[in-house]
Amino acid sequence: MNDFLKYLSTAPVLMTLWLSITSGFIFFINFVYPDPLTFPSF
Amino acid sequence: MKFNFQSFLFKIFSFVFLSVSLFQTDIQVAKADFSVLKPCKESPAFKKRLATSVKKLENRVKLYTPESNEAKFLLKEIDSTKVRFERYGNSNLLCGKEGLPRIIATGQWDHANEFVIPGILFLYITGWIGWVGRKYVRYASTTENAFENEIIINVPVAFAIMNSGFLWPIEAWKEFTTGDLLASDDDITVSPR
Repeated sequence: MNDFLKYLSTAPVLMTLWLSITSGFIFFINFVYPDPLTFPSF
Repeated sequence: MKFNFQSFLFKIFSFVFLSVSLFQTDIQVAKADFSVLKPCKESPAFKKRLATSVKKLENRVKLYTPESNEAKFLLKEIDSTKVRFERYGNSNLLCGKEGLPRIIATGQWDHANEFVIPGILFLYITGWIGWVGRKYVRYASTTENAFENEIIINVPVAFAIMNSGFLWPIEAWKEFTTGDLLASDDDITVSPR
């Protein structure tokens, strides 16, 4: 288990995980609020 | 040599002065009235674009049976097109003659949400990323095996650093005034000349 956690902590693996989360977050924002051209003013 | 605050300020000042005087020979106040542009809501070309976009999608809907997934998708697309045009029309955007919205990047306040606010937000987020990256690398350099800590990330520490980065402009200014932000000239390797 410890070795596996160490593997997950290596830079390339961690970057893949983190950027997947980030891109998923951006997909989600664009799904909820599509076609943003200006910063929304409420 | 210790970091010299005055010479640094002088360098910045001369850089700005030179770049302005070299590349901006005629500085004019940005035109604030934009007589060529029209609010999108009033632009006939903008309305025409909405009509043609919807028309194109409606023509495609006709190719499919109403229950099919394709037709459902296209109907949804028509709705979102209408919503998009309505939002752009209601949002203070200016359109060109061809009916496309233009982003006003002069920095004036009534168009701040088109460029200034997203721009500042971009700088804040990228600054956050850079700041916590620097902080982590500096943390790693204090540990026993610095190289390994850069390849195998210490996740709990990295997370703590990431979450603490939201005040980075203040932290950066603090480090700048204490001289910790920039390396002194002696620490920078220079090729022999």
